Amino acid sequence: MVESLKLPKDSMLGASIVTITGNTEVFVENYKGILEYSDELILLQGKNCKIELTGKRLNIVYYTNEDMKIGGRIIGIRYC
Amino acid sequence: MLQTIQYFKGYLCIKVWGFSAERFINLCGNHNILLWNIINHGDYYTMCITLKGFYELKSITKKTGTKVAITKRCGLPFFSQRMKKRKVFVLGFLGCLLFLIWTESFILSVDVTGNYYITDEVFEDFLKKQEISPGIKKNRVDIESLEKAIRNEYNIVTWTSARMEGTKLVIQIKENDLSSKEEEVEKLQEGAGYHLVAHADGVVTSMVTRNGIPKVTVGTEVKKGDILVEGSIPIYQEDATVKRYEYCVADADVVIESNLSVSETFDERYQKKVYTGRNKKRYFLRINNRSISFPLASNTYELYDVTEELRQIQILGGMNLPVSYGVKNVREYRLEDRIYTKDEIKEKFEYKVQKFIQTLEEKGVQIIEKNVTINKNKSIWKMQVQFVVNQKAEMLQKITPQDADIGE
Repeated sequence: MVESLKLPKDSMLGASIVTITGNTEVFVENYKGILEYSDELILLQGKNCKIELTGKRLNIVYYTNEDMKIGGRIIGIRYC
Repeated sequence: MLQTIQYFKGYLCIKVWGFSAERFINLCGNHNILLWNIINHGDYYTMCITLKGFYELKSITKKTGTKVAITKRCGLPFFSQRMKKRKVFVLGFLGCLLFLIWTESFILSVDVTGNYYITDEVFEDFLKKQEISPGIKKNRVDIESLEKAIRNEYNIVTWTSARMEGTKLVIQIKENDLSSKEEEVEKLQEGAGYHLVAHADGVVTSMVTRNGIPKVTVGTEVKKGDILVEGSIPIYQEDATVKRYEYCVADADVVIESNLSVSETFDERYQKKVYTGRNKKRYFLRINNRSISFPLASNTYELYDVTEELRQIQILGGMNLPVSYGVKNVREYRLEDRIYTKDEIKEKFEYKVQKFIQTLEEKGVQIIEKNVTINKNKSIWKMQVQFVVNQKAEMLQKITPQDADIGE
């Protein structure tokens, strides 16, 4: 239905948008909150699943209700 | 941009620790409190928060069981609070700004470029007459009328441009490159007729007449002031009597071969500056035309040369302050009596002759023969140079009313 009506999936299905620039910057939209935050792991709660970011010297550049930006050296992203 | 806004609004750097710091961050997000630079230090987190957001933290800290401590206050609201304790500094800063703005309203230097025939000194005098000199207010200078005045004062100036560059008044001018001879001819044509006369005694070697009645031919011996080409053209009646005269400016290429002699004398004795090797450096500070030198004691040399290196203080990339500094190099010398050797004298005379020949060539004079004799009388060297030159006659003589009467 979403596809046939060409509606945006992120707002209709509540899918998170993860934009990665190189391996140093991640921009996340459509999420519920942070579950865990450390130097090497950031676990975010999306609407349908969890997003796990692993890396080194991870830090949150800014954080609002709508979006967030994560800096550091990204090693992997896993949806669970 | 965002950082600038945050700076003006003010923000805090805080330290958060306790049971669930992640929940604290989530709740801040839910309450639309902006957080940035969130760093995990293991036991605690540090982050930046807006001032408005910080006042809303109380309920969140209660819910999450975390503790918050301010580590740093940043931004303009806090800066102004701190500045209240430093009133003299703020006043000094504001005073400095006002001084800069005030000095910006003056012209502190005038720069003239493109002048060749009109020397800097002449132009300076002209500007003084126009009441423009370093130190006057900018609003007293009317750029357009200044440009007009320059063009009116000097006919040679074909284009002018004046503009302000900070506190500098930049005047650019363009002078007419064409020789003023054409202008002269134009001026002459407005008046009565002119004869072409001989500039020196000699023999006419070539002649091409364009305007006027030729009075000499090739081979004629002429004296200085003799009429070569007449500017009055007779109009004859039917009975061959002169009815009247038409006047014109005589125009012809008449080349006269003439003798030219130049003499030059030199005293073989002269005094030479010999530097003793003793010198002093004196630093100075000059404000307007008053200067102070360091060291204060005046120098004790009897004879000395002074060279000066001057630097004007500029601020804001081009604003000249009336303050300059520099260093004076004072070099002591003594005068020694010397005598020129024969070779030195020869060299000096040779240089003089070459210079004279150069000026002749610049005038378009062709040198046919040159005889140089050098004599010594007691201690005076004398050089006599005899030239035989071919020079174009260019001297014009105005036809006076008496001439005209005689002609008629």
